[in-house]
Amino acid sequence: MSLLGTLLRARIRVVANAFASLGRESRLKLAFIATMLTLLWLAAFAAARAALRVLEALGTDILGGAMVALAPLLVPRLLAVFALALLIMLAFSSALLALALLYRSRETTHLLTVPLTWRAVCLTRLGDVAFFSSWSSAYLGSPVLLAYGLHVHAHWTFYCFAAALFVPFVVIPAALGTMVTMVVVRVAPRLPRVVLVAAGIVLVAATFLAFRSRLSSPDFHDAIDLTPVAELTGKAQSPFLPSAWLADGIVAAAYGNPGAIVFPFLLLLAHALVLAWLTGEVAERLLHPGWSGLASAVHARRAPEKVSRGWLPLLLRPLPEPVRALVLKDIRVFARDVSQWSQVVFFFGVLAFYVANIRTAARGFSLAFWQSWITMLNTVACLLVLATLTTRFVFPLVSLEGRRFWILGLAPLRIATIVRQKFWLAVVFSSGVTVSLTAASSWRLRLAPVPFVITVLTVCAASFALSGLAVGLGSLYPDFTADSPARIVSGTGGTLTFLVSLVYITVVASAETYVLRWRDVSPWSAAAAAAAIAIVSLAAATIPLRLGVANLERSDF
Amino acid sequence: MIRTEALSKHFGATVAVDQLDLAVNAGEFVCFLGPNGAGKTTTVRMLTGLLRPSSGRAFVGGFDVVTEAVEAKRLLGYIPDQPFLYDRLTGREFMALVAGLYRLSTDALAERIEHFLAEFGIAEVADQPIGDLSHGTRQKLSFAATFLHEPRVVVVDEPWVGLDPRSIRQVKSYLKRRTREGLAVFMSTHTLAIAEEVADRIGIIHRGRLLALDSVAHIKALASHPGSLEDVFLELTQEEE
Repeated sequence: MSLLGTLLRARIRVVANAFASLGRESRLKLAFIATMLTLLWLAAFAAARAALRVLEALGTDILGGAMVALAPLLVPRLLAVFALALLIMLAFSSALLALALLYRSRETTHLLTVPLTWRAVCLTRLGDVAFFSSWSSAYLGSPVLLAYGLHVHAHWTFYCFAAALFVPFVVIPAALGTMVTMVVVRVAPRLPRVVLVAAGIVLVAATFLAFRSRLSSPDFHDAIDLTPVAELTGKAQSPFLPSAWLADGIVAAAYGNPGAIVFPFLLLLAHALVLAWLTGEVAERLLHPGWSGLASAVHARRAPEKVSRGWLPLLLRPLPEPVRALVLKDIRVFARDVSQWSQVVFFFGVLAFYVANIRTAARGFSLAFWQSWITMLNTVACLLVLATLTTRFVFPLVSLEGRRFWILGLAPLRIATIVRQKFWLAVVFSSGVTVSLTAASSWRLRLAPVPFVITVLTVCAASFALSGLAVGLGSLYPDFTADSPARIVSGTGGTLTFLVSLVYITVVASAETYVLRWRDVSPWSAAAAAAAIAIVSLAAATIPLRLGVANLERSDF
Repeated sequence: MIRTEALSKHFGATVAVDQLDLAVNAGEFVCFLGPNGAGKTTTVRMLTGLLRPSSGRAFVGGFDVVTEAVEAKRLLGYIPDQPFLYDRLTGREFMALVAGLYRLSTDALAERIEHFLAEFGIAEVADQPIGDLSHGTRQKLSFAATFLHEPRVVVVDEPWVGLDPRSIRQVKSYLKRRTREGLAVFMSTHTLAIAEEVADRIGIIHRGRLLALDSVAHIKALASHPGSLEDVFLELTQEEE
């Protein structure tokens, strides 16, 4: 068996054993996760079906008959836009994953000691990068494809062709992201910090401006005018974009046109293979010097005195000990973990992109109906960002103390104090991010004062609730054996936290929509909806926190 | 089997290893001693090809560990102080993975795996997930996996952590026996008593420089007053401070 085959076989065994070990998990937890994952999938399917029906009806509604159908015009363009967005997201997340999997993983260190070429090590990890960056897209994309297939009455082979197109498609951004990471890791440690920061700012600004100019278009109007839509979405259909090849292939497969599938498939496959080969070549030259350079940089780096002795301890001085010491420790540990803060930087980049472009999308929607929907959708977007933040960065906080519990456990501290400290730290950070995001996006949307205040208050309540949920469930289902936040989050506890957060968001967004959508509701009804949000938020925070503290107090360390 | 030529490693302004010239022959057991931060682990990581030297070269079995890395690693076995093992694999599955990585012949492979599992006393737990094993058992599994491909050179970095006295005795005996059969062993350790017991030669490194490399008897004779290896070690490393 080849080396890659050996490693692949080991991967399959790992996955099989991981599934087998699910038997040790709580049945209730597993049942909840399975149910929620199914419901989420079905919700995505229902939303896609509804959206396709709306698009189908659009032509006949506006143009007064079945003579002109807009769906065949719009759907391929929207598919191209979605595929382009996916391509960009996958490239960014692949670059971050490559940093973690190629340079920070102990498995890679192990692989470097066995007689594998750098190319083989890199290609093994490239497979992991492609898988980990794309599985969620496959999970949430499959109901959309199913809805589209049913909508156009596609033959069953459509789904096989779509899967066949997806595999080489995800390899392309994975390879690009991995190569970018290898180049950056090789080059960045040699450059002075000032140059690095300046280059980062220039790169982000240039990308931002480039996207902004590409995505700008004439105003949308309340009356349906397809010209700006066609102009904007047409940019995603450039024949040079792999995302356009994917979209073309899917549309061809949907309409049962095998001849038209072959070309985009071969384009995707050829580019995936060439880029994978190129990634291997880059790895042969850059992986080892980069890996060694990064490992050496860790030794060479002097103590970050500015953070240790600078403004942060002063800023936290008003806090009582031991809370101050714990907060200082959590912030320092986070700030010194590249794989952690780089994801936050990526997160902020996406948010900045969202806020900067939101006006373009919303300008001209003066009807109250659209204003209400856009307000609600903006709130949901902000809450989803918040849920992602709390699940990814807050949920692991308690588990990360696992191997250090000999310090905290021996200190004269109550467990509840430690959990509360993490909760309030999460509230401060998450509300800082999401409230400013919500305020900025609401301002860009030119919301009226009442919806503005309602939106911001909703997100404040959600910051409190989702932080409590993440810290509470992190205490209830800790993983004290793992020392990687990413690994902690990828367990069933992390999945559960995100799914419960989604349930909370659905409840809160529904209550907010009730107030915003029907503005003529009585003040009492509005007050009742606000009270419902407050009560649900309080319960969502306090119940998991209490259960989590009780669990930790019962636990052995 | 191991040779270094003016091997150096700089971490920024810090010189972790400075112009190290070293040779470990087949059938020889060399222990590398030094205080914390002396450069032992950096040397080990350069010999295993993990870290690239800032200058100088390192050879394993005549192969340059940087330019002929794959050939060098085929001859090499490496046991780190905290070995990476796949928690979700069982011990036997991990051994099979290692066999595949080293392209071992499948002929009688199962028997070989059983032989090494039995040699290190872990056959009974080899079907449990590695994540469920104790630290000592994991360490024994890493020994079993290291010897599966019959390396001609073994580099060991502080291997005693987590091992009980019986296991330490067993590992020492095994390493000595394999050394007599022609294996070259390079071991970095803080445990002076063990080094004194097993080593043919002892090297003392301090602040990246090799202060001494000789037989135990000769090393002991370096002290101003005849004493134990501990006395010599403290005296040599004290002089430099």
